[in-house]
Amino acid sequence: MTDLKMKILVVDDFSTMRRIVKNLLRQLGYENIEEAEDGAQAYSKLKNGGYGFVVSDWNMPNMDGLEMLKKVRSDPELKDLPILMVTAEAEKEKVITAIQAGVNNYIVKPFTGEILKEKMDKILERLQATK
Amino acid sequence: MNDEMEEIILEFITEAEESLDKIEPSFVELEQKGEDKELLNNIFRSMHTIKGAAGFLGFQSIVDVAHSSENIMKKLREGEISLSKPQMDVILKSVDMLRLLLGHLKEKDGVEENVAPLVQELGDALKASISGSGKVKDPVNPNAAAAPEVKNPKPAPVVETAKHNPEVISQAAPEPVKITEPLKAPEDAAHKTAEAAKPSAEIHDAEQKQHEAAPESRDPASQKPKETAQNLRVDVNRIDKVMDLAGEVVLVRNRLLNISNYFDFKYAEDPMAEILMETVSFLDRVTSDMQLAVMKIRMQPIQKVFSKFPRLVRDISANVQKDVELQIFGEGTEVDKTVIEHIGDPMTHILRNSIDHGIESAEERVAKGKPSKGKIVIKTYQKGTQIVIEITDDGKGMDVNRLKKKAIEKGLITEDEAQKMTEEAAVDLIFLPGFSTKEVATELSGRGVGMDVVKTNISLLNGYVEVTTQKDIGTSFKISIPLTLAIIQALMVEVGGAKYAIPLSPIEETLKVAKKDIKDITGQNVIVIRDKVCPLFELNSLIGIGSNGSGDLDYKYLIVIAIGDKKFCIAVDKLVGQEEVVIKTVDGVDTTSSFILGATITGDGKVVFILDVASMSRNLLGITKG
Amino acid sequence: MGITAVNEHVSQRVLQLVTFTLGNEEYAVDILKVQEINRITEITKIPNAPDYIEGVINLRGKVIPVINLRKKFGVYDKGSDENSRVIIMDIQGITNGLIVDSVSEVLRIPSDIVEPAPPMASTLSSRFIQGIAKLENRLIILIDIDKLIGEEIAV
Repeated sequence: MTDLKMKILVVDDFSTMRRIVKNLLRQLGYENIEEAEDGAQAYSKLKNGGYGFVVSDWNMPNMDGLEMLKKVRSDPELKDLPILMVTAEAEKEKVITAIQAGVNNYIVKPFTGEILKEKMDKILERLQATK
Repeated sequence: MNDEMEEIILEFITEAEESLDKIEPSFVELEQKGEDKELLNNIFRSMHTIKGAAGFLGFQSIVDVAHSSENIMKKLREGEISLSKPQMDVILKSVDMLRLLLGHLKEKDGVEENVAPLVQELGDALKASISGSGKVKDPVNPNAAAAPEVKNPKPAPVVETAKHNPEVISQAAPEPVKITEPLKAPEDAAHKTAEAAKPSAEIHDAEQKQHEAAPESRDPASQKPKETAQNLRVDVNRIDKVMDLAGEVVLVRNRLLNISNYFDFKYAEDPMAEILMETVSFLDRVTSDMQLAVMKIRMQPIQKVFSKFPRLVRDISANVQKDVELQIFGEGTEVDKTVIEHIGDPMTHILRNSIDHGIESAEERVAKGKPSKGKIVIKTYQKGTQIVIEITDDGKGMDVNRLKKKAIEKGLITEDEAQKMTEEAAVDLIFLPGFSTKEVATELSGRGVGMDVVKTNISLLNGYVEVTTQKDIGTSFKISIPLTLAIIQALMVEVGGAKYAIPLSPIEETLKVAKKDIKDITGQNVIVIRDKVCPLFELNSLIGIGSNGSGDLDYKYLIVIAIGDKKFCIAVDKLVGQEEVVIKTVDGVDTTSSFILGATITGDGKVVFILDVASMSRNLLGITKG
Repeated sequence: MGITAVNEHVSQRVLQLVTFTLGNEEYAVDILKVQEINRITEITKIPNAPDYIEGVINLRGKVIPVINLRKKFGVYDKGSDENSRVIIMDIQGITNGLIVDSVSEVLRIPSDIVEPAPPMASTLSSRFIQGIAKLENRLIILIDIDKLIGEEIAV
């Protein structure tokens, strides 16, 4: 089943949001959560390895979520890393772009712990199945 | 509400406010630069982020306002509509409303603002600009006016998304997959806005439950130490508490030093005594470092204050139908928190005064051959141990005779006093309580309060204001504030057995010279450095302390000080080394003739005075150009 | 002047005082103004300062001036010894230290035994005297600390 020890990276430029997402993840039982303020910081953290999941905001300064996603996908070491993108509204063009760039799923703000869990579980199940 | 929630909300308020602080200057810049993509994006992002977090926390009014202004920003960013002043005005209004809403949250006063009219106004502004450009459909629900709370289509997608649960196939490969399904959600949502209002209430409900449930999962054991983010928001009181405690530790450390010295002396042969000494001296170093580190926590860039000004200048000048450009330099200068807290008001008054009384109307300016747009420049820099803030306008300057006349009318000075008054003194009249130069009080600066507040606030910071004015060239306010808690690099020296600190910045070089090289020219000691004669002063005679400490040394150390175009040397017995020191004020004693600008506490807990070489230069070399 | 104020507002009330000695005389200050009493630590001389200002000390990270009361009152300065103390006082919001020969006790006395100071009661200028408390076989001089130190601060 889901590995609650899995290291998760929460990426958002707004620290309140990081905290909220972190709290939700904690409620789901995840303990090993780290944070990054933008795509660039996230990418360098991911490069250090050990992450099993990424929950990333879209709109961020420096490197936004999409750019980070592309970078991760084009990196042989990280290309299989599951990424859940957080958006404010389900915007058509955005979602298409994100899917094309290889996002595993997206979630719309505000969301509850249950929805987050559902999305994460789905992604992880699929990953398991393809392995 | 549990603590965790409370903390999150507090963090949200602070962060959202900071975010608004950051974008405010962007609006003004936008108006100047036109449609700058980066600026538009920044504003959009801030609104967007505030909306997102507020949604989680259930602050619906904030969500509504942020969402509606975000809609405008989005269209602007995507170039679908173009920038106009009414739009900017309404977005600025929403920034103000967001501040107000955040303020209520902070105060926990439970006051509800009716945001519906503003949301309506934002929607109208968007509609107006779209029908102007005529290419985008109206995204706002037509039922909006009837039921404003239904108006925000945002919650809908959540529900829809949850229901449809978009089956984005998880795949590392970037091939597009089954995109039709998930895309239904937003489309449906847009058409079912009214219907969506109900489920949105459920969501908030669920969220509340979730918050209530939170404490259970907050098992302390599960909160392992984690790598935290780069920035941490901390209550200032906690920092101050740490600062006090650091002071206490210093005291204990001092006692410990004495005790260990005693043991070292009494039980010199005991290795434990030596270990004690070593341990204490380690503690000694750590304690000093800790003190410095704590001081540094309190330093912040002055930008925090300045970011409000572009908007302020814009609003004030619009109010008096003047066109004024604001330029800011040196906003990265770091100052102590207390300065940040107290410098905003006086600067606001000065800016108001400059716009209201200084800058002329466009016609008047053109008639004088000036550019029609007025200009105010704020410059900040650190000068020695002072922070200097200059606010200069290019307006009409102050009319000294009018100032005097006014002061006489107000009964602030007598006819006779006015006669004898120098120009400088007359300009200072503006700082008298109850002084206001405009015959008709304007809304902004003519209420008779204002400039006296400037002086009071600045003197609270131990600073002073100087005003210089020139007819038709403009007026300049120069605020100087000591960095009461600032940390400076200093050279520690010793004379007559006592240590002193000399700020490093004015030191040009240090030399070791034989006593015989010091010459006496008509009662003044001098030394020749690279063919140049430089006046020399013995530090112990300057400060009148410990004069006979080490008169028998046959060499001296010289510190060459350069201040402006003046150069002189201070002779000391010993150079101890360079240190980073914290400047502390010495209250309760008159130090005007002591040549000191403050004191510092060294690693061993001793008080060491920091010498004021600038005042030495003034007193020793005179004001006339040497 | 000071004493009339005391009589009007706190007549029949108990005064709490910290008493100390300078030479052979006994003095007292209002306990509410006393922050703490310390042994004498290292004092740093202030350049070009008046003689009675002994210097500054480090009080838990704050630099505070220390006044030698013997010198201030013109009593022969005997230097400090084992019994010497620094009384740390809050005077009009500013912390000051006063060096005294020794601190005796905390004394509670009814306010009505305090009498106005006779002019030129001692070497201490009478304007700093709030009154004189007459106990059985002791005379205690109450010092108006705000006046004494306030003068310095106001400069």
